[in-house]
Amino acid sequence: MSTTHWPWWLGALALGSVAALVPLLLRRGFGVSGLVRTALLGERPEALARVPAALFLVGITGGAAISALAFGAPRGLDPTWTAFFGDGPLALTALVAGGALVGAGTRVAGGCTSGHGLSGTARLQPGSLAATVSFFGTAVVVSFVLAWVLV
Amino acid sequence: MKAAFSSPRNAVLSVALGALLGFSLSRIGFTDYTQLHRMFTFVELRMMLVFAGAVVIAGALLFALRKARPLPPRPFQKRVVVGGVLFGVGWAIAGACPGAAFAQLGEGKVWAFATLFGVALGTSVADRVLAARPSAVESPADVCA
Repeated sequence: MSTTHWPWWLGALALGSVAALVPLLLRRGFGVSGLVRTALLGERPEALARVPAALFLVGITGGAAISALAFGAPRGLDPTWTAFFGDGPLALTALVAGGALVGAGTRVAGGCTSGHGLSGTARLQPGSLAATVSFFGTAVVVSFVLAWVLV
Repeated sequence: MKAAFSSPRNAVLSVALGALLGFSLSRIGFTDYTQLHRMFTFVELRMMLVFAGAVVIAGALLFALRKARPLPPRPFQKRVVVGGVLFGVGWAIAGACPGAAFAQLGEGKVWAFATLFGVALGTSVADRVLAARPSAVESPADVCA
């Protein structure tokens, strides 16, 4: 249940601040999928170098580890998720295939929840608004299909 | 702008800002499939409010910073819709956007390695496909993704 999770305003303050602190302090746009690509495939002239990009991703992992150690977080597969995909070969396939769609989709769209959804949408950029409506709307449709068809 | 990218200052700040993001994603619940599913099916609107509120706050802050830290425009292109749809399917199935997958791993969700393997695979494959289409690669959508 969400009782252990932050209230909406605190989460909004934290994410909104990160989206502004990254350009303020690191002098680049905020976008995790771009960091993944840079860390994975090398440098782009506009982007962070490979090492700082990887360090940012290490930071995400470490920050979440601190959160889990301090306040707790479930480690196993989510019960809602296993109701759809089980915990066997289908589950592994769903994670890898779903992840691959996330990777390919964000690469083709040129951004993800942070770059388009937060940073671009906050600046009312047409491409980011279209991307955000597309990925959010599609995730809504697929989630309703999962809820209705698979259970 | 490029000179400072690899400085020790940037290394420390990258870890620190990444940690703030990872901690926040975990405390908000973006790493939690049940929370995500309840948002996408409109059962619980808390995380949707988180996102809407974050957009408003980021909008105000980035507007204040627009002269000092200008960010590139993101014009409409067909590929943002195509990519957005692919990402949306993946998000609803794997239960993670790129940042949340790293945060899940940090929380001790070892299975997130599978998600991250998929993300790396998908990014690399799409990169090669796009590289075969130079017009797409040169597009402004690649800036600061």
